[in-house]
This record gives sequence, structure tokens and C-alpha cells, in this order.
Amino acid sequence: MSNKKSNPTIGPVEFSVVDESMQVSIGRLQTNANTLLLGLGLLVLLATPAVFSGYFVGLLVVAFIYGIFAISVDLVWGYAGILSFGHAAFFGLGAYLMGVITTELSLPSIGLLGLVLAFLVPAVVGLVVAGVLFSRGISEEYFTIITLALAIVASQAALILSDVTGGSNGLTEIPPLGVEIPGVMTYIISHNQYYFVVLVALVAVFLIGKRIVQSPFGTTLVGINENETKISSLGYNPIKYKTIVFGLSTGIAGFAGALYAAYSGFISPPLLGFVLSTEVLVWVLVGGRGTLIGPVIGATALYLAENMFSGMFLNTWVLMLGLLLVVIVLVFPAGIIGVFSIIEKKINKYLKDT
Amino acid sequence: MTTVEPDPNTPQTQSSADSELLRTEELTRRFGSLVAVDDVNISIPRGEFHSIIGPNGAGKTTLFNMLAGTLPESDGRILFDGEEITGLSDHQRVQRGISRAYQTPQLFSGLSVLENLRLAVQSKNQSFNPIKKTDSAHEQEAIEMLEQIEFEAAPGQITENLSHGNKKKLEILMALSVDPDLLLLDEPTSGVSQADSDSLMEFISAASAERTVLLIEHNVDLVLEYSDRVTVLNRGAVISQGTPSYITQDETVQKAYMGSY
Repeated sequence: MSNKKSNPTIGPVEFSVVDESMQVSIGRLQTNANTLLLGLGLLVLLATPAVFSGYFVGLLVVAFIYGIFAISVDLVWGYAGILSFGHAAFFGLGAYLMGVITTELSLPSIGLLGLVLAFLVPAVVGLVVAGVLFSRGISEEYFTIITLALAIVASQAALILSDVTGGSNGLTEIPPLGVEIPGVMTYIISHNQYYFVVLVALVAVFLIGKRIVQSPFGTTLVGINENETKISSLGYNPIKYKTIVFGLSTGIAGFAGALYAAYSGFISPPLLGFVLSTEVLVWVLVGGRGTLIGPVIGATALYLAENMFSGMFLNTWVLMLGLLLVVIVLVFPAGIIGVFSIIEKKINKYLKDT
Repeated sequence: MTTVEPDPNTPQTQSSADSELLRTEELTRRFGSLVAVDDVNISIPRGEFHSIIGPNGAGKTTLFNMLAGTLPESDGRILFDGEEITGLSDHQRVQRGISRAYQTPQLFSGLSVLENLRLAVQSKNQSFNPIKKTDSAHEQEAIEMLEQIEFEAAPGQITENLSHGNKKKLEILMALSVDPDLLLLDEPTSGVSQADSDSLMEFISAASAERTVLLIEHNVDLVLEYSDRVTVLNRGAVISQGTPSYITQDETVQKAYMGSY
């Protein structure tokens, strides 16, 4: 059984100083500062479309969708300690469900149904996969390898089942999201408005994620990650917890995939595959595993950087990304958020000393 | 098959079946050709403070592992509160009322003292609702658990940096927090100073007044002081069983201990 893998913080309040009264006040300060920071960030993001070009806003839309995807991975990897190397299979499953449903069925408001199904179906698939594997007593290493195989199988299946998926050409002309009540109204969400839809979805998923990791259920997940034997000795069945969080996570990944399909209008087999599965792990790691907000920052920063610099550096971009990953793992194992908290501690220490 | 002379001085409390809490029948654990626990039959009445002693390698911890469900039984049966629990997993046994404190404290090192205890308290009312808020009653119960014992660390402190003594205390508190009928304690005082050992045993004795305790302990003085009855294991087998005064006079026990040194 694995013991300690990481130390995810349960909430924004983390005690480390000895004097108790001091701890509480610093904790409150930090919580307020964090809330303030998040609020400010949100204001900036709300104003962004008015200031920046449509191209940049478009990049942000995809970055935020990947942010939701990264949160889904952080829930299983950062908190429960389950490493999935095939999460794109669920992201892609959501995207294809959305694509197939909205192009094949011409029902009013079909996109909204697509979003719901893109959560439910991958969630059920995830529950079944994790439930079967964990209850057979499979080790976490083998679970990781099987998820890797899952991504490969999924992208191959999308190639082969070309009648439904369009094969290597993918699916095109996926309609944008809209609300339609026949005879009353038809409202198609424009690309610029979609920015706000995705922003709301990202904030909602983040807040739900926060709520999950702060719940007794979430504390149990952290316990499983730290010491699964002990969790069992306290009367918890780790298999149930791991299965439920995996299903939740794959559901969120599918939901993100559906948001992507409705935005880009085009999806193809790589969305299900190994490369995206790996990329999302890099985003989570660079941003800071087990923090929820870190993976969003990681996804946004790296996706934007890729689009801005890959033109400038061409092939060397991938090389730079690889080097960045090595540096992060060696020097800043807690990621961007880890760097922030080091700075925060320094400031707190300075405030305490003066 | 080893036959053990019964202690003639022990009042046979376990004779009435409904007062018996734990019973093992021919419980055996083999590792390859090694028989770590050999045909052990013990019967523990409800409310008893029962210790298991024996030289190193006698099979004490292996016996615990089978009772707690972390190690499958090779042979034999375990009955708890009149029902067979052989083959049940460890978490199922906790739900039945058996909990265990490890010799090496098994804490969640990244979580605070209070969060560790809350996890233990919460296991009685588990919720699979991932967005349920923390029950303040559970938080309160964890705080009250902590107040029972002298603890030189803030409740919010991360357990990674606790002293060994505090870790041992927290380990025991967590095992108590699941409110067990049977508490398995594996060397609660190992690595703890003599003064602390005494106060720790006082606490264990008081906190488990309503419970049944099975204790593994190297400190024979503590065993003799607190136990109602003692079982002596040697090479996996029970060689003696009875009250502390009976055990101290049993020649088989003396021989086994002398032989191992």
C-alpha cells in the first residue's frame, strides 16, 4: 500500500505555527486574502472580452474548458491519489456524445441534453471501470496502466467506428449551444457569449470541487491517498470511495468534452487519446496537484503559452515544455501554487516579525 | 496440538455463552512452512482486560492481524459477539465493533491532529454524499476526544511533526474514536518513557472501562498490573493462560521466557 504521496490541503486554512490563537488569525487572513484574490481574478476575467481580441478570448475559452478537465483529474489524482493516464478517453467520450447527438438528432435544445448526457454516460462508464477494477483488488500501478490502454482503445474505436464518429475525419459542423423552445424562442449562443458560459461552468465546477474536497467524503479521499491501510482500519471501505470519486471525475471530464465540442464545432480521435491524457497530467502537475485552482492555472498558462510560443519556436516548443516539466518536478514539486504559498509564507513571516 | 492447563484459580466467567465477546477456534496462520500462529483457542468475555505476552516472534502481532482482518486466516474460525467473522475484511470488522491501534502509529501525516480524529469519529456515520458539509457534532466529538488526554500539540497541527509520544496517543485515540466493543492495542507504550507509559495505561484503562481490551505489551509489570487475564504465546501456540498471579508462577512460562534469552 502506498503511504504518503502528497500533502493536499483540505481547505484554504492550513496550520503550521505552534501558537494556536496566532494560527487561527493567520488562517482567517489567508482565507480572506484568497477569496479577495479569486474575486479580483474573476472581475478581470469578466472584463477580458471587452479589452482583448476575439482571438485571445477564443484561446481562453478552450483554456478554461481544459481547466475544467484538469479539475476532474485533480480530484482523482491530487486528492485520492489515483493516477489516470487515460482521462482524455472520458473527455473525448463527452465530446463525441455531444457531437453525435446534436448532429444526428434535430430536437429543440438538444445541446443542453447533450451536456447532461456527456456528464452522465462517462460518469457511469467511469464508475463501472473503477468499480470492477478496484473490487478485483487491482493495484494502483495496474489501474494506471489500464487507464492508459483505455485511452488507446477509445481513440482506435473512434477511428474504426467511422459510421458514427466520422473516423479519422472526425465530426464536423457540430452546432453551437443554444436554447430553443419551439414557437416561443430560439437563442443561439455566440462565440463571444460562449466565453461567459464557459467561465460560469468553470467557476461552478471549481466551487463544487472545493465543496467535495472539504466534505467528510473528501477528507476520506485524502486519508486513502495518505494511508489506505489505516483508512480500512477505521472502518472505511476505500474501494467505494475511490470508485465514486472516479465516476464523478470522469463525468466532469465528459462535461468538459461536450463544452469543447459545442465550441469548436469539430472533433477528431486525438481528443480521446494518449497525448491529451498526458498533457492534462502536466497541467495539473505544473499548476499544483491537490489544490483544484492550481490545475486551472496550469491548464490556462500552458495552453496559452503553447499557442503563443509554438509559432515562435516551432518544434523546440515541445522540447521546452519537457524541460519545464523536469524543472517543475525537481525544483517546485508543489507547482505554481506551491511557489505562491512560499511567497505567502514569506510575507506572513515578514508581517509577523514587524 | 497443545493442551493448556487451565488456571484453577480463575473464576470461569466465560462459561455463560452470552458474556463471551471474542472466541477463536483452532486459529492458524502459516507462511509457507512456518506456522506463525498455531491452533490458537482463546475465549474473551465481555469487559475483560486481556493481555497477550510472549517472546519476540511468538506470533502476537500475526494473531492481531487475523483478528483485525488485515491478514487472512489459514485455518480456524473467529467468532465475535456470537457471530462468525472469519474472512470478513478489516473495515467490515470495524463496523462490527473491533478496532485496532498499530504498534507503529499509522497517522494521516498531512492532516491535522483534529482532522485525523474527525476521520475516525466520522467512520461511524459514513456518507457517500460528496458535497455533504462536515457535521459539527463530529468536530465537537473529536475535540472532546482530544481533551481526554494530555496532548502537547495544537489541534490544528499537522501530525507529521508530532513527537513519538503524541503520535502513540493519537493512534490510541483514533482507535477509541470508532467506539469499539473490542479494542486491540499493539504495544501502546513502546518507545514511550516510563512516566508517560504509566499515565497512558491509566488513560487506556479508564477509557476502556466499558470495553473489552486485548493488549500486546512487552512491559510485563504493566501487563500484570492491569490485566484480568493473560495469554502467553510461544512459537505461535498458547502455552499458558490465566490470571496474572497464575501466569507468574507457571513454570512453562518461565521456561519459555528463559529459553528465549
